[in-house]
Amino acid sequence: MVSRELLKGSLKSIVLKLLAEHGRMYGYEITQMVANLTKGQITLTYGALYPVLHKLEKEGALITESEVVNNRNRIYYKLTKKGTDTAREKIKELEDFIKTIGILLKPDLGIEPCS
Amino acid sequence: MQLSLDQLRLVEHDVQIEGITYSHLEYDLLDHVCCDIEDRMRTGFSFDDAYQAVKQEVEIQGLRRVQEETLLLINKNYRMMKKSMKTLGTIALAGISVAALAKIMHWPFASFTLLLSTFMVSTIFFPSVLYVWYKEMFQKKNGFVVILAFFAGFTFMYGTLFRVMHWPFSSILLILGELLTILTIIIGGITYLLSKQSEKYPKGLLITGIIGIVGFSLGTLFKLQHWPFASILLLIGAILLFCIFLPVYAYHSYKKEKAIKNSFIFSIYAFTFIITFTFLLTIKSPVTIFEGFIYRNIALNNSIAIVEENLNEINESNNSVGVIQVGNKLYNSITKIKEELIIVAGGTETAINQLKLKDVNQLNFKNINFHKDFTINESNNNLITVIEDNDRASILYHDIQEYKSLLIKSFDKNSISTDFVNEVFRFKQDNAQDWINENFYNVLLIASLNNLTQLQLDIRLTQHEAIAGNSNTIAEIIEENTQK
Repeated sequence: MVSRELLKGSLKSIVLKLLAEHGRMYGYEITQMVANLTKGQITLTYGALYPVLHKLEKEGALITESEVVNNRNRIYYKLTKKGTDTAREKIKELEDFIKTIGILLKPDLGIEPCS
Repeated sequence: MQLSLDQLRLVEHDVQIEGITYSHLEYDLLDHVCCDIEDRMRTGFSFDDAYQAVKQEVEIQGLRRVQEETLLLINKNYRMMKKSMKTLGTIALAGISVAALAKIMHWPFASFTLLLSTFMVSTIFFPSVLYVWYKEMFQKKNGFVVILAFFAGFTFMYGTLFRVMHWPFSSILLILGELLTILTIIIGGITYLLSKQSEKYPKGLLITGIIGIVGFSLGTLFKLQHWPFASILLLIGAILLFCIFLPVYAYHSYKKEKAIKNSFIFSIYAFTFIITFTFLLTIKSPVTIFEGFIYRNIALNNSIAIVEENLNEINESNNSVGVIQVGNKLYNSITKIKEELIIVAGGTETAINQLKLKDVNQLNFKNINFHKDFTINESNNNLITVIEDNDRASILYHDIQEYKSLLIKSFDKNSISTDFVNEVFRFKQDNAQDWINENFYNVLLIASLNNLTQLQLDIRLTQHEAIAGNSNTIAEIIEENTQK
């Protein structure tokens, strides 16, 4: 399991990345996809996911569509044009971050890499 | 696997009573919970088991937290409000505590600190609390309740401040604050009853609680204003609130949660606060204490009336004209002092000679004014009187001494009458200042008034003694009685 602290900063990028690849998605779908892709290493809680989705929507990166599925309203999230740019930026940022962290954790620096 | 319509309604109901109001968050969460249940049912669980498992994992009650976190992340105002609320709430609380301490210890900056912290609480902390409350609890259409609550709290706070600072209009502000609070409770309560969230508790319980609070607050207001039926209202309110609502609510919360939640502890805390505060406001010196003073006052006044009647019947002898004049002058000057004391304490002139219980109560609750001759010491109780140095009290003392020597001179060599006058005007204290302190410094206003009335009676008695002439003087009557 990945710790919450580590996940917190990159959650936005992860959500944007998934939406960039899959078009429109609903909340539960996102959590399931993250869980499946990471083989359960990362699970998104309600408390983590929805605040981020709503914030992105408020910032204009996402738009929502409501559809009635199984007698209930399902809210689909989709990238806007602005959101696509944000997604690109954010993903790049995360990749750079991972690279930089990678440098810090290289064995030749004398630090044992985490298994 | 798909939830049946009934199952969906059940989940929907549970989510709705959490009162998620932000944007489409409620739909998000409902769909999420449903998907989760359906997924679990697919692996062979029954609906009940699956729903229980979901509830355990995410807690339906946790959904409000999701909203809170969403608001925190999205709304800058909300974030700032929450932060400033925490900081300012703490500072203001500390400020009020310091002010209270300073007030008790008579430190100079008490009023300033009190003013500052009240200002902070009323204009920054309180509105933030309401804003957060509004964002979390209400839909837009209920903004009216929040505005009402703001004015109620605002007036009430300043009413209390004004009362503590002995400024004018405190009663009006307090009455207004109380009335607005009651109105807020009624309207807010009805709105809550009509909302989905109220389904967490039995309707009857909530109605009992609301009626209880309204009854209790009205009772407090009536008690403070000395209106009738205060006790009945307080009693009904207290029974409904503390004997019915609180135990049932506690039992209900316990049964539902099986664990004590913060909100429960908070509500107990809020209750304690309200009760303590209310009773502190309501408690005043017990009426029975005043009754003794009132009876003495009535007795003194009756005695004066009897002596005056006698005086009118007796023909004045020539050598007592001076005594009558000086005595009357002294008598009237004491009446004047009594008048002013009562007016300074905020009473009406009608109360001067025949004090009644209702007048005393009225004095008790009136504001303090300052006067060049009299000040009412505000330190402990507004009934305490001080007559300052170089003032009417010492003039009074000297006038009495003058009158006394005049009397003794008029008695010539009548030793019985001289002894009588010495007895009547024998002050326990030798010097003026001690006498003033004993009678007027830090003494209850009504006690001071009684002391003054006693002096008036003494004057009338000695006047009678001086002009009795051929008829029996009081001193002689006493002499005869003691000999028997």
